Amino acid sequence: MTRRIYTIVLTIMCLAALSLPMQAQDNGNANGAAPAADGTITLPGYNKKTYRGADGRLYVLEENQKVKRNKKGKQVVVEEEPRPTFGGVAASVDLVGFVMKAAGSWANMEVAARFNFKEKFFPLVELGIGSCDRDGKTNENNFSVTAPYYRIGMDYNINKKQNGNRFFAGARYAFTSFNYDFSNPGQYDYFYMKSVPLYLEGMHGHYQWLELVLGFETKLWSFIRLGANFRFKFRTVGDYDDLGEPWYVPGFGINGTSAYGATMNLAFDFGKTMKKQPPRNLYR
Amino acid sequence: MKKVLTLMLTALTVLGLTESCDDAGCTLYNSTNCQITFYNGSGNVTALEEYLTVSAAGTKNVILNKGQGISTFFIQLSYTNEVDTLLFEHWTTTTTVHTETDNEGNETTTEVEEETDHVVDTLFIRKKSFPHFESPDCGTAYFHDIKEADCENDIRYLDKGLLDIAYLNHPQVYYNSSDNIRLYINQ
Repeated sequence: MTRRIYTIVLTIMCLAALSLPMQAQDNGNANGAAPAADGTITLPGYNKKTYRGADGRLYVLEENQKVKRNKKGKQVVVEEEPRPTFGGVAASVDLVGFVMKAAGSWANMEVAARFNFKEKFFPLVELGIGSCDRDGKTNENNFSVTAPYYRIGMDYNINKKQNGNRFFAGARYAFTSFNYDFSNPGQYDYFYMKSVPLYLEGMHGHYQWLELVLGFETKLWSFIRLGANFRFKFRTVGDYDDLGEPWYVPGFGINGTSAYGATMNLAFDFGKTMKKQPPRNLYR
Repeated sequence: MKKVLTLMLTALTVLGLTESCDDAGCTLYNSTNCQITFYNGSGNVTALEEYLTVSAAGTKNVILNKGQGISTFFIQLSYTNEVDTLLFEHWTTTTTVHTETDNEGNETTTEVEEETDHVVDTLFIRKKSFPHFESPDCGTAYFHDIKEADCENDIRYLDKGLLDIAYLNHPQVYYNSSDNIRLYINQ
């Protein structure tokens, strides 16, 4: 008989322990824990947040659940889709480069591959071709170069909401190695009073630089996204021919110790994409 | 999404406006010049008393045309030749006084003869030249590293030559170089 009573008591205790995550405590504030601004209550010695349901009982919030107020002021529990460790790959192409190639004398045309980790970290690789064919405004000079450039880096998504938009802060390390040409067919030698055309070809340059990036991106349709980012670039290595510096550096832009840049990316997201979850009233 | 797209287009427009304003940033110097200065035996800069014409040998390029009181001048060296030859033309006048002595021993001048000699000294400048450019919008130039400067007197008038020694003071002829060659003159 005694043994049976012990068995019943132990069974009740085990059931009570198992039910704790779902129903923390009947009278929520019994241990003196004060509700936070969002209405959640953190019980001492218990690492999960709880909330008081409409029925007056405390319920445990899972990691992907948050208590919020909707537009009518009513408390709701929003449940977000868990962020996958690896969220897929995105391939993108820069639209600004092609517009600049058509409209101006120089352009950086590039594509990129980007990896999504936890919807927060986006390591990426950017490959491009820089092209320039620039004539002097008031003389016969011409500068030309066409060469590839490479960037590696990472973006961090600072948008905590899962609403389809991403706001990035990131950095890049970039480098290029290239040959450039300069010519002046009208060069005049004043000593011999005659024309001495100048053609300099195959001068070599090697540049490296860092970029700080701010950007944003939104979902256009399904897996198609459109984004833009703005970059501040500062040169770390600049080797060039003794005869003269290149006027333009592929990927960097107009030569200098620093430069600004921008891209407008049309991206195609392959893999798991985060979906916006409608708020659900989980109050019982 | 509309807000993000509007923000994107606005930002790109602003960036496009700022990118369209660029500065050529050309150097203030539009050529490279070699400065040649005359020095006397005491090592001081001196102004020539006679007229001086300086020209480039083998060309019609007259760098200095009968200048007087010249102490220094600038020339643009050639771009492609290894050696530039400069001709220094000056005119020296020799006065000869003819006298007669009469029976009483008095000396009288009968004729004063002036003879002007056209003396041409030569300065050789051996150098290495290389082009230099900054931007398509700026002028191009040639820089020079002078290896040697040497002078020769006119073999017809070795005792009337103007140039004594050519001294290479600053071999680099770049945009803002000065006092490159010192010419010590005979006095």
